[in-house]
Amino acid sequence: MKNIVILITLLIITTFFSACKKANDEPAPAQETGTVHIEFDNQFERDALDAEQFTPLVFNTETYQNAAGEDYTITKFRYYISNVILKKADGNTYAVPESYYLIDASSSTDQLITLSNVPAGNYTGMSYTIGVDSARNVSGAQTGALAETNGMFWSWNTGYIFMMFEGTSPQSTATDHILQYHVGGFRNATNTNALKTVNMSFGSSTLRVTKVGIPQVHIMVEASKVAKNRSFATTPTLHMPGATAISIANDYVNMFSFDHIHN
Amino acid sequence: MKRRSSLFLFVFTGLLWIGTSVLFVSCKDAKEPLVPFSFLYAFETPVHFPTPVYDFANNAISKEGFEVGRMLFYDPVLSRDSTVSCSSCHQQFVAFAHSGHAKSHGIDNQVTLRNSPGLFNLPWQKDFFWDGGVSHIELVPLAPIANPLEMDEVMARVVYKLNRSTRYKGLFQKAFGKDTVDSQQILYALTQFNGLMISANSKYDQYRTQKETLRAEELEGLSLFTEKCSSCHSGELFTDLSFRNNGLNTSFTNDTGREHITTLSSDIGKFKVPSLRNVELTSPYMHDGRFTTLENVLDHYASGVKSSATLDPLLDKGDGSYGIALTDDEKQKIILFLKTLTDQSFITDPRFSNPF
Repeated sequence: MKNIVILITLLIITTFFSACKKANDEPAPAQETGTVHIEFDNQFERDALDAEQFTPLVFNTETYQNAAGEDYTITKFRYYISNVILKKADGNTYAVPESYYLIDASSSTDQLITLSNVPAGNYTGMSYTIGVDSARNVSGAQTGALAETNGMFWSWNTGYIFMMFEGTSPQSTATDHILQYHVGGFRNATNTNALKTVNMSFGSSTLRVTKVGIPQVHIMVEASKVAKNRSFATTPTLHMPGATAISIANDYVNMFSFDHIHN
Repeated sequence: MKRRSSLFLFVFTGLLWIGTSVLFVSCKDAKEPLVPFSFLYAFETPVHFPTPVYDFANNAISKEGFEVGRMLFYDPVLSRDSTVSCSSCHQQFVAFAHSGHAKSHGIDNQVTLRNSPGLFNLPWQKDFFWDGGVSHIELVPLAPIANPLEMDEVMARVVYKLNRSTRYKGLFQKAFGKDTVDSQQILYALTQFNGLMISANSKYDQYRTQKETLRAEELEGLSLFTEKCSSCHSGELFTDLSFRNNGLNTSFTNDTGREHITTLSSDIGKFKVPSLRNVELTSPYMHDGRFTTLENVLDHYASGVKSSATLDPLLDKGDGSYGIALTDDEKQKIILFLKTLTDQSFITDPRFSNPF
């Protein structure tokens, strides 16, 4: 009996010791991190003569024109930004986990997203996806930015609407002269993949992430790109993945441009 | 030492006695069948079934989650004007198909576009609906809720309505431990209910697991079925889960089926191969409910198959004629076999009945 007690005591002590040893082996305290803001500054179009100037994005009341000379107004402009990756000059990258953001320019043309726990360091560029990656399209019920209640999900044809652009045009042949471009699609098998990646260099600027302060990356967005090459007379609405969706995505992938960084 | 063990024995016996009396008391009061809790609200793959597509890994089943899902299934609160529930078009006594309706009625007495299929064994499905438009079991309820011909409701409003109901709020809180109801909890709860609706206890299943025998005609039917039907209605699910054109029309302009989702012209006129479990109950048949009886269905395959560009090659006899060679006697035997797929315990299981 006594022997057993000693044995158990020894076992317990050994366990404690080995546990201590393990703790000592662990790497140095977690790396310093900081917070980053990315501002999506939604405008209508960059001025052709003065690249610093933009025609502002005004919903409902302002009339714009596409390349074909068709007049239109914009009532809704929303899109998903996801899988944000920050890049360093040496090629190292930091992929922001669970980075899914719904930018709704119709609620406010200035939209800020917050990246937390970013490893401290100097970053020279970033990339992100416009839309929602294929895995998340087929992972079942989601929450937050991806919640199916956000009006950016096709219930009858599983998948997120990556970009939603709505308005009116006298040239539109749809009921009430509406314009509705709902772009999505993630399947390679059916050639309906409309996912686009934006690769952005910060040029001569550097994003300095430290544990103090919140640096801000300022990105300009030109909503005009969505409708510029469309014909409202022939395609006033789009509600499903396919070739037209991909063609619109190929246009709006160019609507983002890096402007400046506040460190 | 000896005294201690007798004390232990005494306490143990006492506990056993209390435990037994508790058991007896609960048995006396319970109206539910005497099946262990774990069986009632746990997902288990029937021994002869394949591995499921959905395994509840992210959606742990609880009695509370299941029961709130069951309430939602039977509650018209999911529709815009509280007139249509899931159970309006999915009735338990016909294996959750819509009895006698070629196409179901939706909100404002509108007629929907397709026949509402039976609901069972859903965790084994890759794609849902006749055109396979929905590719995850949790996302299925979003389609009928949003469809203007069915429930015509906005999911965000469903969330709002359920949060406004103190009853539902409390039930969701118990099930998911969160202060407010969100769409994920609603879809999880419905999936817990719908996902446990497993039909694997028909006479055929009893035969398959060596608990019962089939009659000679039924066995003949099984062997004819295996020969003539099982290349599409294969395995224990009685479907290979594919999409095929089974020759109902020569053109499909009214409903292009799978093409509606994929936009591929090679998918025009293709619809999901349905399971044949409980097929005796789920009349009318086909995506548009055009056939009322199983005899009609087999007559179609024997002599009614129409050719078109996407007709399934298995229905092309290669001599300019189409369909499956079937005599009247063979049809009758196949139907006798199909009736062994009826699962009485499934359609009378009180877990799946209307809780209101």
